[in-house]
Amino acid sequence: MPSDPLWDPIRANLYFANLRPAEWEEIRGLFRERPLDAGEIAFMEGEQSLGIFFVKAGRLRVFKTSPEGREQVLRILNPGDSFNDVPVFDLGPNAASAQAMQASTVCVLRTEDTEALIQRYPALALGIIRVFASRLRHVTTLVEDLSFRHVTSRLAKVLLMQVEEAGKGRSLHLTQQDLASMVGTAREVVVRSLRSLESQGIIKRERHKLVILDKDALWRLA
Amino acid sequence: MQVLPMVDEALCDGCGACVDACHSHAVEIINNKAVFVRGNDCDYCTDCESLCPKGAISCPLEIVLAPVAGR
Repeated sequence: MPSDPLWDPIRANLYFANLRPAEWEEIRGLFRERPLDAGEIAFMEGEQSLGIFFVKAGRLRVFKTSPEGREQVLRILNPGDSFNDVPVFDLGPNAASAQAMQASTVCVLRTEDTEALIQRYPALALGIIRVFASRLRHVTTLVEDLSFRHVTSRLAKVLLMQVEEAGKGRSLHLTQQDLASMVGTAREVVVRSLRSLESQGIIKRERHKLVILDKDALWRLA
Repeated sequence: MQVLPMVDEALCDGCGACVDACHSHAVEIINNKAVFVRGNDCDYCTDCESLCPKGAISCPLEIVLAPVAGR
């Protein structure tokens, strides 16, 4: 199969880190690609799982929705990231929903193919364990943040993460509702927190830009 | 080019709440859809986003670091 640099982020995923080139090529041939428009839902929470998804291009968000319709963003996904892994292994329905934040391409490794590959390639199983361990650490941190940190502290952390992503060339344009979903609060609370940060001279608004004036102060809050 | 609030026409039902909310008079209802006809007057206050009952208007923010003085 000819080399395609768009596959490089997926090849670099922890799942495949220990695979030999020929093993990776076999797995790459099993992926099913699916383009998504901006805003398009990849799958919904509660639906039957199709398999493990990987982001080939673009950006998606993984979120859960409360019965009242409030959304909590669990993760922002970039090229190479895997998602919807859990239902493949516990055979349950999709644990969350996923939506494209911009035009994206995802690749799906079907559940039955994944099980067969794990039997053949123990290195793949080790990669999966490492991904799950990393995911568990992320969720633990999220629970800690939601339980113990004040909204402004959580918002400060999200703003710092976005600046870090922008530094890697992965700049996101987020609405105040997006920030609220990531922080785990209502939009109005985010608006008040942003005004509070602005009044302290830590950030300022310049039309569509939210400029961080004092990164150190933001770190102290986070 | 001036960055303006984005209107999702599939969600917009032309109710006019944004027109009432806009202190800059930047937005009008044309053919039953919100249109930012005076973009230069829009100061991106995001009131339209918060008041739209259908969630049809979004005002994405770009989060950036202030440039370091002297560089």
